[in-house]
Amino acid sequence: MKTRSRWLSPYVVMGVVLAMYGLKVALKLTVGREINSPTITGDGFHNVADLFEALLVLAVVAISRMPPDERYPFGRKNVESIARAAIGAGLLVTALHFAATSVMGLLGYAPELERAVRSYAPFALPDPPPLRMGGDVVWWVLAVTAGSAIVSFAVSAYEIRAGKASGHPSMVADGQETRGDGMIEASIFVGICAEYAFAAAWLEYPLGLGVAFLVARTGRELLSDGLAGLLQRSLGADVEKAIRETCLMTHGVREVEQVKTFRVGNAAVCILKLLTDAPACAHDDVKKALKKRLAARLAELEIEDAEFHLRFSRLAPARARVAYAALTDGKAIAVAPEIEAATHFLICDLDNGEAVRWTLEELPAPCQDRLLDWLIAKRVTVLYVFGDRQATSLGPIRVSGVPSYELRTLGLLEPPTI
Amino acid sequence: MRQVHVRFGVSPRSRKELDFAINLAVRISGSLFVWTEVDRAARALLDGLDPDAQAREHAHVRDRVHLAVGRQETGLVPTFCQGDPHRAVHDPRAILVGPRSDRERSVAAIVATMGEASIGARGASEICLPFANGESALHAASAAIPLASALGAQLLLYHTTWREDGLPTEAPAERHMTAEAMETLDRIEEMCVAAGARRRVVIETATAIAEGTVRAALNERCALIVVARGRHVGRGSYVDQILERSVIPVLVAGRSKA
Repeated sequence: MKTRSRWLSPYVVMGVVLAMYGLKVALKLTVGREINSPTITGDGFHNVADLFEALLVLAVVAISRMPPDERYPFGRKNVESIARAAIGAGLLVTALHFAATSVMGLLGYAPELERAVRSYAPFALPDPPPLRMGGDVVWWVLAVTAGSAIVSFAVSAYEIRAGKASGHPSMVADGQETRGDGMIEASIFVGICAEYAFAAAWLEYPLGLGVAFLVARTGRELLSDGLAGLLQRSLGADVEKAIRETCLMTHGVREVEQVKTFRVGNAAVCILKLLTDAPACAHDDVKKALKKRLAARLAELEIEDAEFHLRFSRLAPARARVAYAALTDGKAIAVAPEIEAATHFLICDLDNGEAVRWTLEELPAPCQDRLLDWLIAKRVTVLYVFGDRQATSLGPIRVSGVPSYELRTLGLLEPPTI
Repeated sequence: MRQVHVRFGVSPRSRKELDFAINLAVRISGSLFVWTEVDRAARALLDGLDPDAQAREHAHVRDRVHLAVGRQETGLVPTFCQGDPHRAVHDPRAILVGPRSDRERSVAAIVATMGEASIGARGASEICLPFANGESALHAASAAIPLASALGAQLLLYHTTWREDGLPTEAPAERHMTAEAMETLDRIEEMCVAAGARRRVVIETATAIAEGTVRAALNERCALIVVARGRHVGRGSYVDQILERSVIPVLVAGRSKA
């Protein structure tokens, strides 16, 4: 058991990955330059980027263990974004160089066209030396390309398994990229076999263009990911929609007021403002459950490492003051069917439609003829009477009907219990 | 046929309770009873002014209830009653939706909706049945199991216990359970088997019982918590604590025959 966990340790795994890339870079650059192959040399430079990326993963594994502090509230994971962007840009330049070399290599088979292109180009174009082929190098070439592909597939599987076991998504991603490298290397091997089988050295250059395209694609992805982290690009509308849905499916959440998402390194950061009507003592329960659900939902969307910052606000109370025309004999109270029949008025404060306070007030004698002024002075906006009636107006006050004359049915008695 | 009772009201909370009751009655193939108050003293005040006040009130209430039933597109035919359902309903299988106005315990079960429009409105489906070693758990089970069967829901049998000193730290939570709690679990499982109810068991060592129950129900995506009051609790009822902090609807089983 101990042996297994040691071999799955992120540091051991990344050590193996680094050793693999170091060996590949040395062999490919040596063999590639020896035989003037832009394909193998290009792939060697691609592996230089992979080497740095593996170093980054190692650094991220170490840095991810450093807790955020006052100066770095989201930690220091964004260092990975800086490096990713830089490696991506470097790879794009490398890909451009190898594409140009391959194109010029192909044009070498049409010297007049090559001269015309060179005369129009405003800068010096590469002048690739002829490809060296022969029995003295063939075994080296085949061993390096086939061996690289096999090692890439094996190390990729190992890295993905260890990344999943130790919970480091950056390792899993790196393992997936290594598998992609294996595919490139397998294609190069097949191409070189074809070159030798048909004695067609020119095949090297279309192959070189293919590798340049794949290197450029990797570079673009790395640059895009790095810039997304640095510029705090959102995780996308689909992810934010999934976050909103998950929130609204959780008891205690009434509305999602704001969702802000971005990446810091590999980690997704989600800042949510939620409206709730849950009691204050339940906020922590809801938060914990929600974080768990959101993490599970994002994992389904292949975002394994996420950090949530939830802020709960109470629903803004919609406050209003209304009045009920009332009849009372000093003991019982009923809502009057007409304003003129009222002996008193219930002046009632509502929060989100629920009565939170009311007073029973007799219209003061000097106001008898000035009911409207009295209600306006009380800041009443709606006056209710019993009965189903069309809403009318009494000056600025709306007069409306309620279906019951009983206070409990109208929600005016003390809040009951279970 | 199980009865679902709800008190009519015009406040937003009462309207939600009516919607909840309609939905529940439809889902358990039950019948709906809508109650209105009888305030004789208030009616007497209106006698001289509006002799038809009571009839008009009934008509308004009926219209509004039928509108609510129509909104849910159900073929439910509600029955209208007058009085206090908490006192008037004596069927232990009945369910009252909404709170009561005094501390006297009802014969029927009561559901606190917690502002939700229905059981499982948020996609949750399980019914959380917390149990300890008291008879109240068996009483709660007798309310929860038929309801789970009627709703086609799975039961989550939840128990949290204090850690027993002397056991290794990595010991599973089950080993911290008391013999009485194990016996209660066995009996509840027998009841589930007899009723053909699906269930799963979650045992934890959370120290705060009510908090642990609510958190487990939230984490496990439960749609309802079913509890029963213990007869011998003097102070600090877990049921009251759960009602105070839960955001998930809570069903409190009615008065036990025992």
